[in-house]
This record gives sequence, C-alpha cells and structure tokens, in this order.
Amino acid sequence: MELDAIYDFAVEASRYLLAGLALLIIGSCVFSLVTRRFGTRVGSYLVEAKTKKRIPLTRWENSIGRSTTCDVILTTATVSRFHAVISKRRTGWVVADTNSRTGVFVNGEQIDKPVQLSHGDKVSFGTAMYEFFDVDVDDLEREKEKERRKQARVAARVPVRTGNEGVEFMPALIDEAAEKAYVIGCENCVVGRSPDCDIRLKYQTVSSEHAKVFKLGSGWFVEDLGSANGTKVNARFVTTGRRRLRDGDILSFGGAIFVFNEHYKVRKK
Amino acid sequence: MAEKNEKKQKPKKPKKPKHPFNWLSMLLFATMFQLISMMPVIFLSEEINIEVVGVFGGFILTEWLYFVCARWFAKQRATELEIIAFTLSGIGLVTVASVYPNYALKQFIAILIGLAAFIVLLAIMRNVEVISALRIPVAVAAVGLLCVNLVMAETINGALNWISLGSFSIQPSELVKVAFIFVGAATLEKLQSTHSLTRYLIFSLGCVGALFLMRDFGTALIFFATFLVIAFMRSGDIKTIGLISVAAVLGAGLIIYFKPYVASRFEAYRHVWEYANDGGFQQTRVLSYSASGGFFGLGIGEGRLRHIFASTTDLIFGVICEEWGLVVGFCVILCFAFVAVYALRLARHARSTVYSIAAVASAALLLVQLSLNVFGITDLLPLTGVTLPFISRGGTSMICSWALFAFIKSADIKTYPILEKQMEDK
Amino acid sequence: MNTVTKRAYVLLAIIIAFIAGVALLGVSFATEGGKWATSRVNGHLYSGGEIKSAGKILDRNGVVLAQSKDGERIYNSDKNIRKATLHTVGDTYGFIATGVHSICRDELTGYSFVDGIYTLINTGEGSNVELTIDAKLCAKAYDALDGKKGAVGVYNYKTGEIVCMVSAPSYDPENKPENMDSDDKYEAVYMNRLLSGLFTPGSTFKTVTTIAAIENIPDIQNREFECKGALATAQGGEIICNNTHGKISFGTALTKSCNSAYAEMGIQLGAGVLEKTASSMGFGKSFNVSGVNTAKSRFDLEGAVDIDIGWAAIGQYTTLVNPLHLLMIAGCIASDGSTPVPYFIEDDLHSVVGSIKSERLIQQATASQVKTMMRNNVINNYGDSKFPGMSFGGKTGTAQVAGEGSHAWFMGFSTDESFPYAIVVLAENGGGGSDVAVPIASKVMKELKNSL
Repeated sequence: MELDAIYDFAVEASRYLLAGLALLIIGSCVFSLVTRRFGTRVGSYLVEAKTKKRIPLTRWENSIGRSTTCDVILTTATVSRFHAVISKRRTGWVVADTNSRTGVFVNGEQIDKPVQLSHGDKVSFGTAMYEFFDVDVDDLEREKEKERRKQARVAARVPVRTGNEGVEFMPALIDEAAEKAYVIGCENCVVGRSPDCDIRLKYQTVSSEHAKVFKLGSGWFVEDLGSANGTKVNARFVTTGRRRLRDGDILSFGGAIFVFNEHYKVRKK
Repeated sequence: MAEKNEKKQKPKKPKKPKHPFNWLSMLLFATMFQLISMMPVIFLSEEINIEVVGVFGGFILTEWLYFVCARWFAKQRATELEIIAFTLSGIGLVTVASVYPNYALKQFIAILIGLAAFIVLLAIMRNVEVISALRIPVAVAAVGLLCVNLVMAETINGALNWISLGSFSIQPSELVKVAFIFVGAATLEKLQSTHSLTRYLIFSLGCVGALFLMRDFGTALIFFATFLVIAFMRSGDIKTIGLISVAAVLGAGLIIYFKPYVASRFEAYRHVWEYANDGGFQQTRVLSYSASGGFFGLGIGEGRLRHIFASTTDLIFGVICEEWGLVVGFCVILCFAFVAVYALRLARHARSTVYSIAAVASAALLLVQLSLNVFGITDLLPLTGVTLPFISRGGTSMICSWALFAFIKSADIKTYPILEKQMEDK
Repeated sequence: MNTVTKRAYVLLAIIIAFIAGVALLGVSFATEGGKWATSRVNGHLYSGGEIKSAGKILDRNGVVLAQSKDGERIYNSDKNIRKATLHTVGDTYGFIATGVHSICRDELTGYSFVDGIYTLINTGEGSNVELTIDAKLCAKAYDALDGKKGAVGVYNYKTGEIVCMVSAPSYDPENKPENMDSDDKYEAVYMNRLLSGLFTPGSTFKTVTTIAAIENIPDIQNREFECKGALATAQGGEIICNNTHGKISFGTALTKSCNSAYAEMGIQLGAGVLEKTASSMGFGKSFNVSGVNTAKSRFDLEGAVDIDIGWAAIGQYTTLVNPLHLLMIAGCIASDGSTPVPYFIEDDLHSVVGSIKSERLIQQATASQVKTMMRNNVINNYGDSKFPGMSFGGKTGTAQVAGEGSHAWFMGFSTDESFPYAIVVLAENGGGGSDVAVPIASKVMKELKNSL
C-alpha cells in the first residue's frame, strides 16, 4: 500500500521533473552557446612600401582587391577587383592569385600557385608594393628593440624635465606610425572605439570599450575590458587582472600599436 | 562630475556573464533527465526487458565516456552541442524503445555510428587542405550512391529511397545530405577564383533530380532549400538565385499540372478535420493527442498516438508532446533554433569560408527539415513525410544529424585546441 | 571574407521564420487545443466515434442525466427523462450539435491548456456540468406533447434560467431505434426545435403587430374596426377571419384574435414600420444561449403588396419564428420590455448577480399595455383555472401550413412577481392553439408551480 503511494508520487513528480530538467538543460546550453564570445586577433600586416602604412589582416582568409567588398581594399589602378587571397593555413601564411589581370609577385617573382609568405617578404599586387609582416615574428623583434628605445627616451627626457614655463608632462599613448599622441587626461581612462571613451581610438580592430588605463598609487596600469582582439603589453596578452605600465612599453590594442610615454610634453592650458 | 563617475563605474561590470553550471553538472542533469525518462519504459512493461535495460545502460555509459574523453584527453572546452545532441538522441531512443522494444538496439547502434561519424568528420574538417582534396571524390561518391539507389531501390512507404543491406536498410539520401554540404563548402580562394555557380549547380540538379525520380519530395525540398542557402553564401548573387527559384516554382507547377495525383496528396492541407479519416488522418491524430498531453504529458507509455502508423518516425513529435508534454516538445524544437543562432555566430567568426558555409548550410538544413516535419504533421505546412533530426527512428537519419552537428562544431576554433593555441598568448 | 560571413545572416531569416512558426503553433495549441483534444478522433475520450470518458451532467436538483462508468457513457435510469432531456444533454456521437456533450466538451473532459486531459486519464473523471433545467418537469412536458412533434420551453424571465427545454421527436439514447433515417416519425430528430427550429408563428405574431400599432398609430386604444368575416384589399384578394366579429375594439381584437382587424392594422402601418418593429424585437437576430446560437427569426416584406402585408401581420406569409425567440418576447412583455438572454448551463458568468445585461426588445410603456391585453385574453378565453394562482397572460396561435395540419402555439407568462416564468409551446401540425397548446402549457405550469 505504502509502496503504491510512493510509486504514484514518483510518477507525478517525474512529469514535472522531466519538463523542468529539459528546460534546465536546454536553458544552460543555450546560455553558453549564445553568450559565447569570439576573439580573433590580427595575424599579420601588409606594410605599404612608400608610406609605411600598416594594413592589418584581421581574418584567417583575407580577400585583397579594388572591390569594396574585399577585406583589404587597395585603390591602386593596376589592382584587379578581386586580386588575391592571403590565408592562414596549417603551415603558415599563404598568398594566392585569384585570376588577377596584373598578377601577384612575391620577392619580385610572379606566382602561379599559392605561395608561402614569410616575415619581411615583398609582395606586389600589380604595381602596388607591400611588405608582409608576420605579427608572431614581429613581436619578438619589437621586444628586443624595446630596451634600446627606452634608454634613448630616458636620455632625451632628462633635460626638459624642469623649468619650462607653459609646459607640463602628462602620460600619453603614442602612435608612432601615424605620429599621433593620445594624452591620458584622467586617472581612470577607458580606451576604445566608442565615442564615450576617454581615449577614443578609431582603429578597426579596437573594441568599443577595449581596455582601461588607470593610476594606482604612483604607477600606471592597464586592464583588458573583455575586448574581442585582446590587449598586449610588450607582446604579451593581458588576460586577467592588470599589468603595470612602464615608460616606453609597447601597448597593442587588438593590433593597434602604441608606445606608452609617461612624461609626454604638452602645452599648459 | 557625477556623470563622469558613472562612466568610470560602467566598465567595472564583468562583461562576460559567468555560467551557472559547469560541464559536469550539465552532464549530470542530462543523465538525470535520461534516467527519469527510462524508468517508466523499464518498469511499465510486464517483465523487465534485459535488452532494453542494456541499451539504456550502454547509452549512458557512452555518453559519459565521450564527455570524459573529450574533456580530459581531447581538451574540449565547449561541449554544449554534444549535450544537446545526446539529450535529443536519448529522447528518441527512449521513445523508440517504449514503442518498439525490438528496435532499441538498432537505434543505439545508429547513435554509436552517428557519434563515430561526428568524431571522424571533426578530424577531417580540421584542415582546409584535407577538405579541398576530398571534395571531388565525395561528390562523385554521392552521385554514384544516388544512381545505385535508383537502380536497386526498394519502395518503402511510397518512396523509393532505401537500399537493403542484410538486416539493415540504409537511406542514401540522408548520407548525400552530408556530402551535399561538404561539396558545397569552399575556401575564399576558391570562391574568388571561380565566380560561377555552374559546377555546383549541376551537382545539385543531379541530386534533386534523383530524389524526384525516387518520389522523395520532402527530401528534394530540403536539398533545394539547402542549395539556395549554399548558393547564396558562395556567390551572394541574388539575381541568379531568384531565377533558379522561379524556375523551380514553375517546374513544380508543371508537375502538378501534368500529374494531378501529386497535388491530390496535399488536398487535405489546412482542411485536415474535414479529411479526418483519410488525407488528414495523421495530422488530426497528432493535433488531438498533442493537445491532450498538456504541458507535462500523460506519462511515457500512456499515450495513444504510439499506435498510429509512423508514430516513431514522422509523427514522433506528436508522441513526445502527448507523453512527455508540450514543454519538452517545444524545448526539443526550440533548441534547434538556438543551435542555428550559435552556428550563425560561429560562421561570422570562422577561420575559413569553408566553415562559414558548412555551419550555415547545416543549420539551415536542420531547420528546414524540422519545419517540414513538425509543421507538416501539425498542418501548418503540407505533410511531406521527413524525419525529425536525432529523434526519429532510423539509422541513416541519425548519422546525418550527428554529421551536420559536426559541421557546426568544426566552425568553432575551440574544437581544435592546437589551432586555438596559435591565437593565444605564447 | 567579411563579405561572405555577412551573408550568413540569411540564416537569421530562416531562424526568424522558424521561430514565428513555432510561436504560431504554440498559439494554436493555446487557442484551439481544447477543440483538438476533445475532438472525436481522440481515442482517450472516444471509442468508435462515441464519447466514453467525461464528467457528469446534472440537472438543477442534482439528478444525474449522464455519466461515465467503466469506459461507458450512461444516461439517467428513467426512460422518459432520457428522452425528454436528450436534446439538452446530447447524444454520444455528436449528432445533436447543440447538446451539452458537444458544446461543453472542454468542461466535461476537464481539459485545460496546462494539464491537457491528464486529470481525466489519471482519475477517470472530468469536470461535471450543471444545468438549469428540471429533468422531471421536462419529462412532464414531453409527456404532455403526447407524441406530437414540437417544443416546450419555460424560463425565468428575471434571471434567464431555462427550467424546461424539450424538443420532440426524441428517442431513447440507450435503445437507439434503427430505422430513424427513413422513418417520418423521426424527421429532423437531431435538431433541438426550441433553439434551432423556425416555424410559421400564426396568431402569436399578433403580439408584434399589436406593439407596432401601439407605438405608431395614435389613439389606437379607442379605435374601432369592422370585421365582415374577411378583409378585402385594394389590389384584390382577401384575408379570411376565423369569425365575423362585426364592430370590434382594439382591445377585443387581440382577445378574439380577429384577422380582419390585424390585417387592416398591418396594411395601415405599412411594410416599413412592421419590419422596423420586428427587427427591434429581435427578428433577424441570433441569441447566444449558453454557447448555442439560436436560429434567426425571419420577417421580410420586400416587394410585398397589401395582401401579403395583411397576411404577414397575422403571422402568415413568409414569416418564421424561432420558439425560443418567441419565449423571450413573452418574457419581455411580462417584465417591462427587457429580459436576460436565457441560458441552460450554469457558469461563472451567471453565478454573479447583475453581471448579465438584459436584452431590451420592447419599450417599457408598450410592454405594460400589451401585458394587460394578454392577461385579459387568458381571463376571457381560457380562464384562470388553467393556470391557478399565477395571474397568467398569454396568446395562442394556429399557424396554417401549406398542405399539412396547423401548428398549435401558445406563448404566455405569469404576471406574479414571485413566480416569474414564461412559457412557449409548439405542437407541429397539432391543430388549434387553444385546444392543443393551452392544455400542454397548463400541465407544465401547474407541475412547475407545485415543484417550487
């Protein structure tokens, strides 16, 4: 008799349990599937031979051509509308000519089948000349150069330290390629592409709220705000927590490269 | 000033919400769900069927084995898709075992083969070079398989889409679905050097044509819809695709004009209650019994839809609604929609257009097939007789479902920890 | 690659279409699930098209009219009650579409969107349905019809409760006769004549003409008519009266049911005024009686000449009336021109006093004048002995039907405030109203009076 009652209760309870568990399983799977965030990073650059302008390659497969639907849009007249594809494969970066009229040249030789690219290779699309930069290799070189630059900077800074009327020293992010400086005007600055940010960086690979640069005690720190492409200090990702910034550090916001200058000279207002 | 402070506060909020459950607790929930659903099947029959108990045990063991291996040895960090696949397969297995205990073992074997296909496809899909190399052989094999099917077809339930192999019969059209997407996916390099759709169009026409000859209109429709999605993904050429669609509608019109019996198959559509004992027989039963179940169902084994023909294949959604309840029924169909959302997001961030196209086409195929099944038996669409992915009885359909999930999962970089490492900090 | 991955949004269109379909399916289950679950194809409830499992149907005194036992549907044990209440309860196959078995399937099976029919399957019981009818009174009324086809309806004109609803012919659902389709005796046996029938009203329609005259002809109460046994119209043709009444006043014209006087009134009022009055009194309108829409009474004088108008004014020509509508008119006359729409299934709406709006069919002043005239009619013609202690008012009708016997009609009401009931009796091809219909009404009303 008692067994029957327990059985009935179990049957009744299992009806609701089944539905509840189904909702729970589907709900939690959906939660993680839909809140999943995807990060892609800049794998490499094309550097324009004359202007030294950096064009980031943000995908594993990048179409290059004159058409506005390409990932990398080249405006040179000799470039075909869909000229070439640079893709990341198991073996590394590969460039392929996609039936262009004027051809693709790697280190001066025209290619007829996909060719492996190495750091520093000269790539031409028609008459448009570029240098290929592999970030992984590039990062190492930068690190070596860091020390040198830092010392030079410290040396340059000393004489102008005091006694200058109408001048003050502020921490700043310097984009050396574009010769542009972003002064860090507050002690807790949000860096990102959104106009609400304290420091607005209009770079394609920078997230809308990318990172935070802030002063803690006497030192400056950077912290990633969950950006898509990540923040690096001296070629190392800032994954969790904050990272101390020192004068001359190389900061990368998803591939946009800056030098941190703690004592940038600005005119007093 | 206050405004400025507010701005400072904002970024402090954690951007990524922390998931309330880890994979192990999710796996535990899934197992609990399966155990609860298996209990009535085991104990309600007059004597305990050892084979069914063994199959259920084997299923849960397989599930745990897979997840432990995937997590600890293959370093998988995103296994939600498999949780969904196992949960759905489990619902199907329990339903099939409760209606036809003799089919339980076959269904379990089908799940095992499906899982194997899933793992193998994931390995193949790791490198674009392998996919490119396999494309032509797969296309040839698919067309060949359909031709063999046409020659030595066996008519089951009015469609000529079965091949018998000993005690098993396979449905080549299900396997060709996988091949169809595999062949359709292409790298950006390939897309950019060959702008025309011609070769793929010919391949697709061959497949759809063969299915038409087999009178498997439901599957032909699924293929056609998938073809449109793949063609759009590849070319973005709305004009051509519009033209093809118009041609297809005209063709369908011609068929109906010359072969009126095709249209007569659909005469009960939207009038099923007037044809409750002939053309609308299945739909009216599905509607009536599904509504009888309410939110929480009448209990597994307590339904009556199970006695209707095709209750474990085409009509299985109705059986689930009646016995497991509308909540479970709607969870089942909605989770495909969420998988599709996931596939869409993956496709946006995939590492090659191959994966974008494969993920989107797989999700589209699953949704179209699901719609034809669920909306067909509930009279929102004409009844065409296709299966419910993962759940319906049938081995080839199960393998195809797992393979399609493999296409979606392969678009996720987290599936391949080695590749993912390249993107991380060294 | 961005361009290609952007095309993935085509999937979003498919997802949205799919979700819309799922939503539509969900809404369909919510709105039509009850209809689907309780349909005849559901093997849980029906077997061979016959309802098996459902809740009880009870009359106002708790008498069980139908219930399920061991997978069988069982009716009341009294054969007369079974026959008399068949059209209200309904058969098990659903042939009687206006029966409780058909219209209350949701309630009987205990269906709810959330639980489906789980309660019924699990406990073997659905919800019970309580009716306002009195089974014994119905049996009495069915007896009084004495094998004639027709209908009897009695309701409380203050509250709208129908206490008696009988339609004949009927049959015993436990011993269903075999030759019903071919036998004339069972003509339209599945129709509830009270709710769905339409019949020529004959002289009962004179109440409508009277109301039109009071409202439209000045000084009508002092008007005198001349009856020569027939009324000749201007275009030729004449309307025969049942007698030669000579000089006759407006008040006596109703008591004597003088066709000449009423035809003259009708022609004087004209087609437009008659149609307007009829339509304001509910002709051409359907009433929702516990979910059953009554048949629409018909009064149409389009293209009618004087002689047609004359015939129409005395309830002939193409005029057709629904018995329940006539019952409502009787109720309106008794209660200052308005009455709640009758009902026979107890529900939440009717259990709250004042929640039901009355239907006004007649102006208040007119209603009290007609009430007095009809009260006089009973005193003078049939005598209060037929309706003892009820201060009854009423009007008979003998409607001529081409090629068949006349329909006998009686509509009446008690003017006693403490006994607010109205009745309509129809005996198809039964003969004269006062000979056939009045005795039936008398029996039913006496039984009702005694039972209270």
